[in-house]
Amino acid sequence: MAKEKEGEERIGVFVCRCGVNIGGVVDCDEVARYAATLPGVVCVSVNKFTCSDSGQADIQEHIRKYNLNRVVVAACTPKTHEPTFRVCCEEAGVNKYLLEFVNIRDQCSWMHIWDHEGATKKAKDLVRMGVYRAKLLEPLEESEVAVDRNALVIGAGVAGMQAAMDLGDMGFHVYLVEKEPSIGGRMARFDKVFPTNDCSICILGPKMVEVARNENIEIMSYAEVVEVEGFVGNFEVTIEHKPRYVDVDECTGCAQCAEKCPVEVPYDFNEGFGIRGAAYVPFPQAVPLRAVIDLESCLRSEGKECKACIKACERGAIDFSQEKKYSKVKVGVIIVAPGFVTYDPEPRNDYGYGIYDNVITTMEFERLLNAAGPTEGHVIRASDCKEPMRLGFINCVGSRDIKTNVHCSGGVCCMFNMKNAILLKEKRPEISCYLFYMDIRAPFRGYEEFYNRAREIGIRFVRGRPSEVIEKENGNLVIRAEDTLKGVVRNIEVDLVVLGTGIVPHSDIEKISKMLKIPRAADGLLMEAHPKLGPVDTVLGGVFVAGGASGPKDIPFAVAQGSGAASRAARLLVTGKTKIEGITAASDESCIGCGFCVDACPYGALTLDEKENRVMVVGAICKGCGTCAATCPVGAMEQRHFKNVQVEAQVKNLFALA
Amino acid sequence: MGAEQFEPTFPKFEPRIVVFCCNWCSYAGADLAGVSRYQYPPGVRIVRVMCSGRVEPVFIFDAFKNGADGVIVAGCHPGECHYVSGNLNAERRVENTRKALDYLGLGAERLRLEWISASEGMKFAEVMREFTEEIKELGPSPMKSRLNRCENHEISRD
Amino acid sequence: MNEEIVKVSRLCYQCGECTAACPLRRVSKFSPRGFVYNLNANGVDTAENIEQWNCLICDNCYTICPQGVDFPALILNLRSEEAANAKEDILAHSVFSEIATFMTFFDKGVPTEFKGETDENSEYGYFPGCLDYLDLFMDVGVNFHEIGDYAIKLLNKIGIKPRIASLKCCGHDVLFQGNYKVFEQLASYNTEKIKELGIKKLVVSCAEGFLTFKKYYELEAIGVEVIHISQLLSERMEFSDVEKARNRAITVTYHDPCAMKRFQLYEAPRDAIKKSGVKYVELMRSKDNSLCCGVSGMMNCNDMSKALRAFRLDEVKGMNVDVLITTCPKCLSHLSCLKHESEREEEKETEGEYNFEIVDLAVFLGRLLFSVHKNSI
Repeated sequence: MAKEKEGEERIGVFVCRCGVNIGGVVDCDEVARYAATLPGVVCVSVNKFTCSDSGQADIQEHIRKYNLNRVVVAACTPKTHEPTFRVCCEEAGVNKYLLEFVNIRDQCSWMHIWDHEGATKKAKDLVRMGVYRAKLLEPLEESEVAVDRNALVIGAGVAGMQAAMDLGDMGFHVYLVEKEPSIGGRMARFDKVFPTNDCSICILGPKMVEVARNENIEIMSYAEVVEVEGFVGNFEVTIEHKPRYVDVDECTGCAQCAEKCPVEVPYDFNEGFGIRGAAYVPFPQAVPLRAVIDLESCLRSEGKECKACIKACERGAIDFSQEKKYSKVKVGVIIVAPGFVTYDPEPRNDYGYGIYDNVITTMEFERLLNAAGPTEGHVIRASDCKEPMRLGFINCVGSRDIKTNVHCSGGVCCMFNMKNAILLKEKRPEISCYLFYMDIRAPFRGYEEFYNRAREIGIRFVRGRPSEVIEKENGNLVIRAEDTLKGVVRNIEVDLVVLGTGIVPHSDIEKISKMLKIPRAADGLLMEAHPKLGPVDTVLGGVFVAGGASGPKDIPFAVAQGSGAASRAARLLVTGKTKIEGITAASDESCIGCGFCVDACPYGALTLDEKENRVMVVGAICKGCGTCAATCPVGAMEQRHFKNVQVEAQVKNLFALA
Repeated sequence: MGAEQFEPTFPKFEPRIVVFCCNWCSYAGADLAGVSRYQYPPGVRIVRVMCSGRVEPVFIFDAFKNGADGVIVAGCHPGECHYVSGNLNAERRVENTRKALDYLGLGAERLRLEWISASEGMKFAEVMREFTEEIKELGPSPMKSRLNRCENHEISRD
Repeated sequence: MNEEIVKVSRLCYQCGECTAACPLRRVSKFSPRGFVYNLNANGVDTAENIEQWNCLICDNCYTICPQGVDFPALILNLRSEEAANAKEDILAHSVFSEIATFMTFFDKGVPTEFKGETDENSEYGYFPGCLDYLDLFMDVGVNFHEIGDYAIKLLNKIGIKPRIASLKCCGHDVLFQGNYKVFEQLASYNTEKIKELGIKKLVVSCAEGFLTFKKYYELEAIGVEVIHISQLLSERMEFSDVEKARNRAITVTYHDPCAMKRFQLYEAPRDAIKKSGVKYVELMRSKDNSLCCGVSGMMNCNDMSKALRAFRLDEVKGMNVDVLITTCPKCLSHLSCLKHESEREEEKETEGEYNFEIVDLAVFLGRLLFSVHKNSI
């Protein structure tokens, strides 16, 4: 081991066995022995679990005993454990950026389970790379920025509403932005909710009113976030307010204008069933309960001078002079809850949807069941307006299928279809319901009992995915499916087919992900910071995600996530300050002012100081990608913690010379 | 004289691959490969950078100079970059470096750019296996024998 | 067994959609789901399972499978391993398989005498396939040779003078029967020949030929594009308004040959038909869900295949069309066979059962364009 000298790097190497995860493949003692021979290493230690309390204590002990000023931990992945060991080092007085993390588990022992010798050799190489890099590490200080005490919630479905309410109750001002004219989201459209069969709007309605009454919440309905600038604690958000053509201060939501409007368009709230006017009130429980005029379908867009709504409105609230407006707000945190949509079977004509009148989706069926729906709760079929007596519910349409979406909708559509069948069957026991399923997923509280209830009540569960639905001349439909438990193919004639469509990402997610720069996974959903341990965090500081945007969820799950995101966000709002990553760009005086890096920077964090002819970095905007450093032709731009010499030290020590 | 005597001096060629992984997608993808135990050859070494856009040509040349038989620069898929467009800078840079490697005679096929997301553990392992096989076909990097002959080469051990 | 195929089959979650979609299931107890279940759960690859020889390899199960299990590939794989051990009476005594086998002994391709203009230096090569042999051995009242005549004339019409590729049999039937050895010999001969002739675009009018060349040959690797004639016709064919108006009186429908399913070549033939201005109606079961005529692969001529073709023709009958169009000579002959049969019986009873014509796409379009007796479609 190297002798102690003043001002010299004193490195301690800590090798973790991680139980048998590393120790079972890599000869950790051999790695430690090897590490001890490397220059600058003054002590080595092997632990069963370095991340455990005793393992961390061991590191701190060594730091004190050997007066270490660099720590190399060879263990699992920095993605999960770097923060742990950084804290450990800081507590013992070593700047956290003087920790070098070497991954010998996820990228070594687990990768080469059968090649113990190769894995050990590789682990040694990795440790050597780490030690050489550690020698060159420099302490960094994290700067602190103030956090604006306002919050933004995008999407006012049940998850977004919960998040807004929680933050509002804590005393923070919340901007709740909703694209639709009313808050409430998908849940407002459901008839009943499983497994209690509560009336959906009856439980949601009061919550919506509560949100509106909360003095800390500013609802911005019929509005969209179009631009987000800034960084954690200091976001500047541009919101586009679509014109309602109705003065919201005057309108009382009496719907007189809607009654007089001569236009008839499919009623989107009722999934296209029934009609509404161009002037309409979204639905009776809407919040805010104000009319809105959809100019696209209004006669005025065709150049006609229709004044029906203006005449109808006693308070003179109709105002066609309104225009698109933009407002800017400053917020410290953003909670993203754009929600989900159900799979649209129309383009692929799944099971004849879009061709046969009597094939509908669950959301459409939901509106048929609803007492406030287009048929006032009477289930009838489109072809002849008769009440269907035999129904076929088909699960997993647009999910668990490589041709559409591979994912399972988390049991939501199993329960959804089951619930609708139960509601119908309870109303009219003589109706026969077939439910085609492959696996019933009823994982949460009360769900299995609900499944029992469905069986008890006499819903016929057929295990098999139908291959086709064929329409007969009288409008009846024949579902062909194998009853896989019996091994026979059945052709079951029904009057109405209901497709249990899967839950898929909202089309806005792509836009939001680009705007906020948070990544999406292969399935199109927003990525959480960690699928297990950071379910409502995103990789971007100060931005959180809740609800259906990060995967199919039922209502309680979405509500819990809303609360979760709110509490995660409140951490920043309460303290009013946050630390900014120390890994940022820095330029030195050798800068020649060419400006290449200014063009390369994705964030606009660099400015060219014309007078000094030198590039300056705005620390808080810089996210530390290092593109500028790679662009710099003279090496004047450096990325802290990933300086040229630091990376090159690793590269030069990639392979042991045999 | 015969094959027996030669064998010890030419051990089985196990390609040495250096992968520059961005912290957010590819490094996490490599982790996922580990968590899922998708195996790949141990000749692979990963160097973590925050963004594939950080990888400058010098790093790549350095890697070859220090014994790499092949180099991969791995970043997020276009449009998914944690730093918006750093990966596009990487794309341009790697493409130019590949050309340079061709001019130099080392061969562009020894340098690759790959988009690997955090959810593509399987892809990570597959790319590693496939690239290792490809490099095996190509044989050891010609840099090595040249470096061995050159006395004052830069492989520094401090 | 091929590991890759087995691996994918393990993804099967037993939904039974394949069995429900299987045409054979409509007339037998065949169950792709049960087959895969046995393989996955019990490790039985059912080598002695006689059922596998009944599979039509129609791709219905594959196109519909939510997990991407390639059941047809599984069956082909099994057959190629078991063909040698198969009992004599399992494999059909098909003269066409014998012809294919004989072709491997002689250095000579199929006959190439067709009407229409050809050009020996064209990059387009038209391969007529087994049309002339079908005329010799398929007595079903169809003139197969004219498919080739019209195909070339239609190509001329859209500005292509193809050369006629004198290849050997494409090997579709022997491949589907598991006779991989003969298939490989045919394939390597044909690939060499295509290279030698300098064909860059291989045009076929036959769906099975299209599938075989595109999927089981490696022609793309040598820069040869495999094209079904309907792809060219749908792009470039033009009918005048007068012709369209005249054709409007004809109602037609189209039967998707199984061989077109693998590459989902559904729209091109339909577009080509619709361009002529005829009234087009869609069959109830079409595209992914279309039913096999019953004889994919020329494996059997038994009660099951006969029942299937009747099933298909009955469906067409219900649509009240004048013409049923297809692009596969095998479908054409098999469906015509039943129609032919019923017509012979017609002499005894008075009513004809199937009063619509069954023609190939090229013949249909060709007659519309070139025939003097325009009403005789």
